[in-house]
Amino acid sequence: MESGKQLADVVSDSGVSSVAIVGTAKNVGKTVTMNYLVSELSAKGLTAGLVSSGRDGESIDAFTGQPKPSVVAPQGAWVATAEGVLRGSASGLEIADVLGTQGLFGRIVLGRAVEAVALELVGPRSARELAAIVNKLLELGTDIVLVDGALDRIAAASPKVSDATILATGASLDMDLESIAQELGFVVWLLSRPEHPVKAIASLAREAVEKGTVCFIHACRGKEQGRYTLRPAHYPTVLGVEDLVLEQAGDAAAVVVPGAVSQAFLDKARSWAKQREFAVIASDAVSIFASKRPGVSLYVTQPLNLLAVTVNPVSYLGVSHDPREMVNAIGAAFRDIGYKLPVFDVVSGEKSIEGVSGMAVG
Amino acid sequence: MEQALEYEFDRLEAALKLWDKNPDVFIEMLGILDSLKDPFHAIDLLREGQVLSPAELFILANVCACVKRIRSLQEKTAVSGWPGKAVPPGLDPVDALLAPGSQGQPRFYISDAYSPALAETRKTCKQKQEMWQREMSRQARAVEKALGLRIPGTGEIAVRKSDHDRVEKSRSMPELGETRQTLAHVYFRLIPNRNAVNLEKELSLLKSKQREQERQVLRELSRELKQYLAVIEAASHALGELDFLLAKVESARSMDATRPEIIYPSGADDRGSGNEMSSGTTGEPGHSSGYRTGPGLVLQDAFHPMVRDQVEARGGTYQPITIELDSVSVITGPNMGGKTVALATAGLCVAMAQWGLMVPCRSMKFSLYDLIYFQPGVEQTPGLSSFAAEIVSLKQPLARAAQKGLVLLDEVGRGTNPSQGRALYAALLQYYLENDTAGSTVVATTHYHGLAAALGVPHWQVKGLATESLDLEPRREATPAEGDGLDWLYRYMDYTLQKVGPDTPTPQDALVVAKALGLEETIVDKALKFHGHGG
Amino acid sequence: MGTVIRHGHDRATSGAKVANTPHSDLVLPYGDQFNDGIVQVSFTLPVAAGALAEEAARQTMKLMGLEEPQVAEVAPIGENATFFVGYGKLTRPVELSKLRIAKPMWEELDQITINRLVQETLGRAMVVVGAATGQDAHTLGLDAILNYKGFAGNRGLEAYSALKVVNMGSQVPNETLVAKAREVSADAVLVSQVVTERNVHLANLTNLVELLEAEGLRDKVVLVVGGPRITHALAVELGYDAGFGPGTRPQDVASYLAQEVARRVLN
Repeated sequence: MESGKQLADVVSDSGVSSVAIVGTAKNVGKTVTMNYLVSELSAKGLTAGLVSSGRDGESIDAFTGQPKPSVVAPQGAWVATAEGVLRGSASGLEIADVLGTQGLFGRIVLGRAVEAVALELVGPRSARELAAIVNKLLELGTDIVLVDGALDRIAAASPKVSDATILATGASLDMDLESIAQELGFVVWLLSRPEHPVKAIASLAREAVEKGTVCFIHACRGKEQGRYTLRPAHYPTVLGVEDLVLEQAGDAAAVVVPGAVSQAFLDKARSWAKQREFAVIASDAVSIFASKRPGVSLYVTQPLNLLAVTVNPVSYLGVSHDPREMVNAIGAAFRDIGYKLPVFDVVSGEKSIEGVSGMAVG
Repeated sequence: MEQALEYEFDRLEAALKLWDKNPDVFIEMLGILDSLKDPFHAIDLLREGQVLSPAELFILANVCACVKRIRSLQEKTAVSGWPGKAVPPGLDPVDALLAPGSQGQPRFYISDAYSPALAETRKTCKQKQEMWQREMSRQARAVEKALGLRIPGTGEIAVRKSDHDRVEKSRSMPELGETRQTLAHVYFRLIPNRNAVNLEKELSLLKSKQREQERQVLRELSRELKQYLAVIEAASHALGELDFLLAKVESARSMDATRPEIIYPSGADDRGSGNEMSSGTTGEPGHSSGYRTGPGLVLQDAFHPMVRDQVEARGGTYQPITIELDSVSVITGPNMGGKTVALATAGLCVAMAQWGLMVPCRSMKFSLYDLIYFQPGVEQTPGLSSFAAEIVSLKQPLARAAQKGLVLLDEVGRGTNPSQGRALYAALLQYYLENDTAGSTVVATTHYHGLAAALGVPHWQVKGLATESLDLEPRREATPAEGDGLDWLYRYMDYTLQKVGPDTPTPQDALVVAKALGLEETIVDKALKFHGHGG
Repeated sequence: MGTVIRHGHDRATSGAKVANTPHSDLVLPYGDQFNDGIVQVSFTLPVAAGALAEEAARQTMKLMGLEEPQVAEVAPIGENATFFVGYGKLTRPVELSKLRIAKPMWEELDQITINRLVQETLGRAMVVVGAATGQDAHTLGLDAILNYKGFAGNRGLEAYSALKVVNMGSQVPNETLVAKAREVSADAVLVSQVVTERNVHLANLTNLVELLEAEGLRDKVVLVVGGPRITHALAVELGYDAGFGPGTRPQDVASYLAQEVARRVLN
């Protein structure tokens, strides 16, 4: 990582038009990261758009009862939120669309902040609707959409929703610094799953995901050597049929799973792969539900673009780490497993108060 | 009723013609209608004299924008070609109210233009806010200088506990207040000084004043809009009407549907041209038994759109049906031969026509029915056997026997003893033959072969596999099926309906189908022998 | 109105303004007088009884945000633990007008109306899969909602002719639940869960949402969670369509399901 480069620089330099901020747990500072980014990106002259995949910026946490920071949209930024939580601050918004999606908090309203507004973000329920809102915000003239993931849900990071991902993590995850670093190393490994290195296999895998059925990829023999074929397994999923699917594998070089890849499936695939070259290919990293390194080659058809990791050294339970130690330990853990990923603590990060969007009255 | 339908079909035909001439305009129009939000909640609020929220006002602004764009597109295609109700009235005064100084895309914001007082408050607010920010920045710089560290973006300073001097110094500074402690750090925040606190107080008052002024704008706006309630409502209905019309046109185009020919009841010569009719005079139909004695239903190359899609999705070719139905008719044919689909197609065509939709066939002639009865297959009703459920259901059309019905019967009595079932079916059809005076059309599918001859009614037969012998083997090899023989059946089944006389021999379809579906050959052979003996 | 300066100091909003008469918007716990903010707490510390333990207890109360903490009762528990009862004062009031309670957006319907609504909108029975997921061995709540006999005189979902119920019982892994939902083409998935203090179940609840997303089923089902600590607001945050807390009757759930499915079909 270049010295002196801040998280906002990493994001703006990447040139992506949407970034998901997803957390490894609750209270890991997603909202803080989002507020920091939106204010910095706006200062750089970019028009930011804000949307949540759950609920964000509410004054009291529905679960822990702790006060939470509100989301601040600087002047000119776009937001998408439910009309039910707008009542107080709708006046600062120029409304440009009202979507039919009716949730518990009413329809989703898209608007531009005419003045800086502190507000609560409530997003749609499904990733498909979320993707539609991201596109709508971009159509309305947003340069970069920030998608706040809810709790520990990472669906917002799906390539179908956003171009790039920031992983927020912190003391909530685990108490011990070393275990945090280790656990994070695994999460980063998982979120960084690449395409299959063999181009022909990667392209067939994409085809299989399109089909929506579990497929096997076989290497051709004889004079066709070097080419591959796709063979559908007639299962739409591996859930509950892990053995049945693998029994059909034959001499396949890979199995492509268009839906969820469960830990149970990975465990079985590992023993299957003991005697042969065998890879599991998922559609993307958010579809992989692994709790540990699977011990079998694992690829995706659509890799995520993981930009950075942020840490929150303080958990709401009062456990805290030294920010510098934490950033260093995590950075080192990534290097150990071969990832050069920038790590930031936006709370103790170097920034003077002029950078803050200022006062917002709610 | 016939006239109302003719009027609707005239509208549809006119719109279809316009579409063919101006496809781009229609595509654009569909896009505009797609961006429409349901305005009727806002309309209700207006009517009740309530204050509309910014979101509801946006929805009205959006209606204005849609109306504007739709009207300009309709002008391009000659407004005169459009049926009256599908042309929305202009909403210029509403538009002017909702979008002071805006252009293009529909937006809603409580802009300064609505209220000079609000503009003034906002301006003062902004000034005070800047002053507050300057004040806080000055303090921040002083603190940063004194402590030799920078205040991060969150405004919270973390000082390491091990840095005793700095902790003590921070605690002693009046500009800083301690907020919390963690294992390694003490956290501080800037405390606003007297100036800043005064500014905060002023701002707080200004903000609530601004809120109240904004609410006032919403109140006034809602009140002013109420006087345009009628025109907003008319425009919204016209947009809805247009949306519905275009959806019908789109569906007619997508299935290449045609306008049905309505046969008027004899003695009632009230055929009129829809174009000359005003939209208000869609009088209730004359309604008495014996009055409608039209010739029933004639379908040429009719298809069931959903079944056709399924057939084409599996790579097959759909065979449409052609049939003339009047009074009572019987359809026979093999299992899997499309008897039920034929019934469903007839019912669907009539239902669509009476709903004012173009129909899925090459041509259709019919006279209006008062009821359509169709109960396909065996419906599961808890506590009733399939036979009992069927009988209970049959009471419905019989209770309305005085009305002209399209009664579609699918193998009535199949769930009971064959000879009694046949007797019951024959009696039911006989009942219609003898008692119906309303001109009903009854279509009965059955496997009972002599039924039509016994009643002396027209007999339509699915061509089926009848011309093929039982020698299936070579064909099955020629079409490597996925094991269940369905593909073979789909391919060799001739779904055409043909009218046959009473002497037509009974085809051995059931046995052919059973064999094609892969039933043990020895069983099929035995069945053939049994059939020979009994038949 | 309640102006809050986001980056201002906490003191700006503390104390002072709380009225000591009823019907105030700002409320504090009622100890001896209206809004005096006095609360009683009890807890155990793993420290042997003594001066050190008492000081630790006072600090604990301070960390809870209690001012003027007083230790009232001290009772040793074994050798190395002490039980405390203490009093302290809360000064930060709750602003009632700022609270938003997510209210149900459906009305209560009777059984006949529910059945008719489902039949009219779907043209068939609604398939409802219910399970207590994860490590949760409790099926009490689930059974009360699903089983024919229901509870408190309110018949369960199985008693509705328009609902086809698949009750998977307890300790169902999320993967199994999702596989079943796909197998039976579920219209609704009902999860019962006791969300505990330690949030382990929370992760399990979000995991289910992510699995459904990955399987492309999230849009196809109405996803409902119920349990003693569940609220609508929490359910929304977890990514569910609705949440049902304690005291929910089967009719409440059936009413919601029927109306939500109708809404989706109409849209």
